[in-house]
This record gives sequence, C-alpha cells and structure tokens, in this order.
Amino acid sequence: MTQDDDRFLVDAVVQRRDDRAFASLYDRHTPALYRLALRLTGGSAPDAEDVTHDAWVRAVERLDSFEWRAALRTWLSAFVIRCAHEKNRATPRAALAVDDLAVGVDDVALRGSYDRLDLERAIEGLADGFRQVFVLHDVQGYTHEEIADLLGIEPGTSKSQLSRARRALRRVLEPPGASP
Amino acid sequence: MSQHTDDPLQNLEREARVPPRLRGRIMQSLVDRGLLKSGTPVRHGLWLVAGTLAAAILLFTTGVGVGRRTAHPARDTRPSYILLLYEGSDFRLGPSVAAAEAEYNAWADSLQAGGVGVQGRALIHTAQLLRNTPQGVQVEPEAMDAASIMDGFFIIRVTNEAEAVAIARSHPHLRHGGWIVLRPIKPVS
Repeated sequence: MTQDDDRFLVDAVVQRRDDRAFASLYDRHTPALYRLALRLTGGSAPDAEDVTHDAWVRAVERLDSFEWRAALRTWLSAFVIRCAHEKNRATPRAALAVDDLAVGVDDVALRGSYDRLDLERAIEGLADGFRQVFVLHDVQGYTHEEIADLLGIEPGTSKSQLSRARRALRRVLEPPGASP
Repeated sequence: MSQHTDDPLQNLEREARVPPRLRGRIMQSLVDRGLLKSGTPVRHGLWLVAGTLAAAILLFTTGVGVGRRTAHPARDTRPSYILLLYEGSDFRLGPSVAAAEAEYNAWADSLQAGGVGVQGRALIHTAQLLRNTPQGVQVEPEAMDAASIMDGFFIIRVTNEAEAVAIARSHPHLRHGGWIVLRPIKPVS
C-alpha cells in the first residue's frame, strides 16, 4: 500500500462517503493511531479508545481539507495528539518530576531489559508534553522535525523535552549507579 | 519516520491491540454525522490484517460489475459453483488497487467471452456473530483471524467440476497469495 492508495481511499470517502473505503483506511492506520493514543493517555485502554474514536471523527470531518503536504498517517496522528491532550486535561494525573535543565552526557535512547510494566508505568508518569515527545520519538519513531510539525513546536524544543523525559525515566527505572 | 531496532520500547509498540468494537463504533459515529453513507449496513467487526486488506475490499467492485453484466443466469441449466475468495495468511495485493481491479475485470471478462456465466459480489469487511445461548440470542462482533477473512465470491456456471477447478485455478486471487474455496451449489429441484 502506498500514499497513492491512501489518496484513492480518501477521495472515495470525501466524494462518495464510501464506507468500504473508510474501513480500508481504518484498517490501515488505526493500529498505529491506537498505540499512539494508548501511550499518550498513560496506558488507559478506555481513554485510548475514546481518543482514537474522536480523532477519526474529527479527521474525517476535515478530510476534504487535507492537502497531502504530509503523510496521511502523520496528519491523523496530529488529531490523536490533540484529542489525547484534551483527554489528559480532563483527567489529570500526578506527573513525574522532570528536570528543568536538559543537560546530561547520557542522553541516549532507553535500551536494555526494563520490565515492561515498570516501563509503562514510568511513561504514564511523565507530564503530558514530555510524554508526547518521548512516545512520538522513542516509541513511534517520528523524527524531531516531524514531531515539531505535529505539536507546533521547534525541533530544538522536541530534542530538549526528549532529553528531559529520558533522564526522568532513567531515574525511575534504574537504581542509582546502575547502567542499562 | 526513523527506524529503531532491538529496543524494549518497540515491545510496547507491538503489544497494544485495537479493541474489536472500536471499528464499528467509529463507523457508526461517522454515519450518524452524515460523513459516511448509511445505505450499506455498518456492523461491528474485526479485521486483523491491515494494509493488503484495504485494496482487497476495493478490487471487488469488479465482482459487482460482473454480476450486473451477467444476463439471466437463472435460465442457464449448467451446474453452478461458488468460488469463495479468502485472503489467507499471505495475501499481497500487488502494485496498486487500479492494477488489481483491471486484473480481476480481465479475468471475469475473459470468462464471459468464453461463454461462462459469472456473477460476483464483494463482502464488506465487518461481521457479527449471532448464537443462541441460555440468555437468548447473543449478537457480538465476529473476530476473524487473517485466514478467515473473505473478500467476496464469484458464482460460475460450467459444464462440470473439472472445468470449475480449471477456472478457479486461473483466478488472479491465487497469484496474489489468496485462497479460493470452490464448492458446488445444490441445483434447484
């Protein structure tokens, strides 16, 4: 499947309100969107379902204005991020403290044998903005430039927030003096 | 997007499964808002295979068209066989939807040109399972694994089963890695 296939399907939804074409778009993109929603809502499956639902509805409402300057998946992800942010504001959680200063020589991606549940809990504990950048970059594989476009921030801001998020996670996941 | 390998975070990425009910919920919301047509039933269901699936749905517009073009199949007294087209576990559509549509169209057209009666229909990729229980009839989304996904069917009228098998063997669905189940249709007495 290619971007051309996405265009074909989007055209069918916009021009004919074709439910089969939408079902195809759904099948193609929802697994990634749902995973993103799940991480951005702190691992809450009901919240992730609501976020994915709301994101798709909003996206289809605006589908005729999509100009294909980015990949469809990226455009859809922006709706997920926005809906997750709104969801998180409505149900705030205690956030993990994140350093104010983005310094540190150990600014590398988390690797090693972290317990999955510990890792999930640690990610859940990040403040909303830091979690967004961490999930988008380290879990979903977006570049800082793509994250900047998605979140409306500078690439440098994305980098510094990622650095802080990683350090905060390390502090939670690794005993003092240990290295992964 | 950049690629990461051998990373514990990728396990998190892989482990989240989309709830089966979500698809139907979203589609119903879109129908309610007038964003999708309500002429075809929107049902809850689960299709686990992404990607190849999308195009597979569309290429069966061919099948519908073929069905419309068939002239009075009920008058044809030859035995009927149904080709049930499943995605199987290795279905790959190919370069594009348009190319596949052309391929399926050409297959049906060539059969018609050779005097074989053909009808075909696409199936929407959702399903509900109804079953009787002590609490009454339960209706729930049907969860399907990749091998059980059926894209649609063709009905052919031929002289015998050997010809039906030969025709089924020529269907482009097989070249795309899909599976075909061929079954005789009981004649009307």
